[in-house]
Amino acid sequence: MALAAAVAGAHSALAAAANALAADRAAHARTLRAELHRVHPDPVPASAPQPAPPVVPPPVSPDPAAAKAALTQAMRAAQDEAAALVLTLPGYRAALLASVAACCATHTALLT
Amino acid sequence: MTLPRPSGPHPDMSPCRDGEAGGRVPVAALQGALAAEHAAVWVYGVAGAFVSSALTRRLDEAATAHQARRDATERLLLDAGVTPAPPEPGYLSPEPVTDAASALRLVITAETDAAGAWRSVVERSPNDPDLRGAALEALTAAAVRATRWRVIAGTVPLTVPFPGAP
Repeated sequence: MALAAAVAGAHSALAAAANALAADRAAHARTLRAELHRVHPDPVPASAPQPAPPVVPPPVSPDPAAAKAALTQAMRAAQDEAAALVLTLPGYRAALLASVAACCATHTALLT
Repeated sequence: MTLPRPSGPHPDMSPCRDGEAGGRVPVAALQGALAAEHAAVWVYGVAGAFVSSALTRRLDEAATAHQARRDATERLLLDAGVTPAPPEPGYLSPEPVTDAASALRLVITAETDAAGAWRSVVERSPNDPDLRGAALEALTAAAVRATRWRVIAGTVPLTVPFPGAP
């Protein structure tokens, strides 16, 4: 998660929480990508690989409290997004998203 | 995992109505969740004797939450015409509980088990958004409690990317 990485770089007091959060969110992204690939194998013909878009670090407030609040807000939004999908997806994917939502809640708990 | 002392049928061996035509309630998954809640209630009772009094309120809150979840799960099963599985006559802790550290490890194990059991209910309740929502809530609450106990126990990492995942 780019915001978490940026916060970790800008605020040493938040680094441990932000790095842990970034690691868990990266695991979510990897697993969800793999699951999408399992359901829809090779949606794009194997042509020349697309170049990765440049990663622009999101702006981070110089105020640690504001940076922490932004991270918390992002986690709450991610939890809500995953939780909404839990109610509509088929079993295995719903369970996966349920774990993602629960994980986001654990990070919110650590930040607040 | 907190193991029931051997006696009586394991939840997985009780009649399974999962996926049965017309049956909306995933009975085996709910009995599994109920077993995890029974175990958690027992675990918090044991842990209370070993942790400092400063943690008593947190332990009581967690125990109350598990009791409420246990009672709600029993009602769900009864409403579906199924007899809720009773608590085991005894439980085996994975390691002897002798001090605060081992007591905290036991409650973290109980919350981890509860998260797994409720994730299974999410997975096996495709046609019941209410039950899925409740199971998601239970999974999330268990995951958050596990993380808070890890903070107190000083266990790292404090979080896992997929709470409840096998």
